[in-house]
Amino acid sequence: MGWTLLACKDVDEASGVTGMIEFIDITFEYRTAGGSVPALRGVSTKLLPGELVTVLGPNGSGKSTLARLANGLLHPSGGRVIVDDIDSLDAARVWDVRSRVGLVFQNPDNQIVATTVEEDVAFGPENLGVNRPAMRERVAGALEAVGLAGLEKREPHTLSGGQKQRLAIAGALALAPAYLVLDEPTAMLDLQGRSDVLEVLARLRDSGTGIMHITHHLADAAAADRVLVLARGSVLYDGVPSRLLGDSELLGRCGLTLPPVGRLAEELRAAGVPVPADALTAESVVSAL
Amino acid sequence: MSLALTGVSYTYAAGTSFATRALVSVDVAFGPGEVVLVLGATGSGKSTLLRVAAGLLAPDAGSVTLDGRLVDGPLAVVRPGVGFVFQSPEMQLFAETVEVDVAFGPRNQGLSEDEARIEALRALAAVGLDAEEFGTRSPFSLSGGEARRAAIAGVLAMTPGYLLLDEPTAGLDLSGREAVQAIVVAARTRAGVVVVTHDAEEFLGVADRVILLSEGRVIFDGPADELVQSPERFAEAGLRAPEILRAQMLARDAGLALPRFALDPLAAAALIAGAREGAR
Repeated sequence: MGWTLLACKDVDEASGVTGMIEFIDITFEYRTAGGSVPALRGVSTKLLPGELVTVLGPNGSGKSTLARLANGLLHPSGGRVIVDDIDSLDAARVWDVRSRVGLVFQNPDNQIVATTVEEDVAFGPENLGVNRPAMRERVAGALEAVGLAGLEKREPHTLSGGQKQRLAIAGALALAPAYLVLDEPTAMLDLQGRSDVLEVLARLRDSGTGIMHITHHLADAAAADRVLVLARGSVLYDGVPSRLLGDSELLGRCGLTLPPVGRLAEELRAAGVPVPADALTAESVVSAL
Repeated sequence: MSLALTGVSYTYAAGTSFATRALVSVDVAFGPGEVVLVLGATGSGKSTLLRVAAGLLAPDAGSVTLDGRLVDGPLAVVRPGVGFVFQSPEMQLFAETVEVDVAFGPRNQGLSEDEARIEALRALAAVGLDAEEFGTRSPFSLSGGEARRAAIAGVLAMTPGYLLLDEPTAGLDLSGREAVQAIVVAARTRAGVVVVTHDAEEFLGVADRVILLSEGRVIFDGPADELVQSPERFAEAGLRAPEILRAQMLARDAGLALPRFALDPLAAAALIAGAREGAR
């Protein structure tokens, strides 16, 4: 039962549960030889299906800890993480939680295991004992979703950085998660690779997956439904991108500055050109001209 | 005075079915006191170029000279003159305190403990880490940005004439990225600085010169402003131009007569506003 993922979704629909990941007053401490280091201090937020949330914050603000709490890789020191009504502390249902929440990390090279693209995507479902026809479908669907269809037989090391990271995402998607949490998936990619990955995330959101995207790039927030800013383990902002992006004083308090194109938009606004506050791409700025 | 690569080619796994040509007849030179940005798509040969320049890889063809001396011998010949900051260099911090870690390089160069300590303190100051506050801390207790700066200090402490940095800001937050940018700008007064990055926007404003690599070949080598004025060159290297330049390209495509392109948002806004006035 636990790992027959598609069945899980049916159950939820049947019982009328509208799922979400809920973080309720989370505290977390890393234990070290010298004592303990608080990483999260009373964080409450949530991630809904079909929602794209961008998580920003300086190094050490607790972003990665939040990601690892989302699928039960870490357990909270205080508070609770509830995934579609399942408490992540419920040891008997840990696989239910993990199958619902896929994790993707920064370096794709550390997440690719097989010698061809399709085998790599098949690795997860194969381990869960998914039967062959279903697996073929999942692999094809996952590669289609990330725009790598046609590269099934390629050796992963011949892919570009952006393609590798999309392969890592496909590997997570093949497990049919309801939510996808990505910890700086674009940190090692060039601008093209970054925009390809962002496009994939937007598409997945549109098809109903809840996406939590951790990043250092404020520009990535423009495409989000909601932005969560963490600092020193606490929530500084949790709301729509436009309010944050249009408020330079609030941005400053969050330790963020607009990227150059955002400052261009700000300057144009000041000059009376009606550029929206969340315009952080060349297209969105120019379409207002 | 320069660190020069002449006719350099390099192939990984040469002679096997996995052979990958990383550099093809590359001629580039880096001079003291300049910041050179090396840009290119993943797999274009950026990191290989740095490794050959540092003497970590011996070229298959061509030569590397350091201030006129041919560099083809053991690594020790090159290393005193060329400092290399690898990707995620903070992974290589190892000592019990930050100060001892940073002093490790100069100690290895044969400096006495006191001399090495002076170099370490100077390097810590250069990366903006207060020696009083950080010198006695464990390197493992530092934040990501602090650890990156401590690792760069370890290379600066060896007073290299040329400083090579591979993706120095990857994975850092805003304050960390700004600190590393400041280090690059400051290092120019003592060394030739070469930065490999995929975030062109971050360093284009402080670079004197840009080298664009595509499939192991140099397809552009010129002043940073020349590239800013012809941002279509990014696409030739398989790269996306910085967003602020793309905005101006799109505006020009849409019919606005921009006389030139600007990296600075204020200047770009003035150019666009001016062109809109002119269009009326």
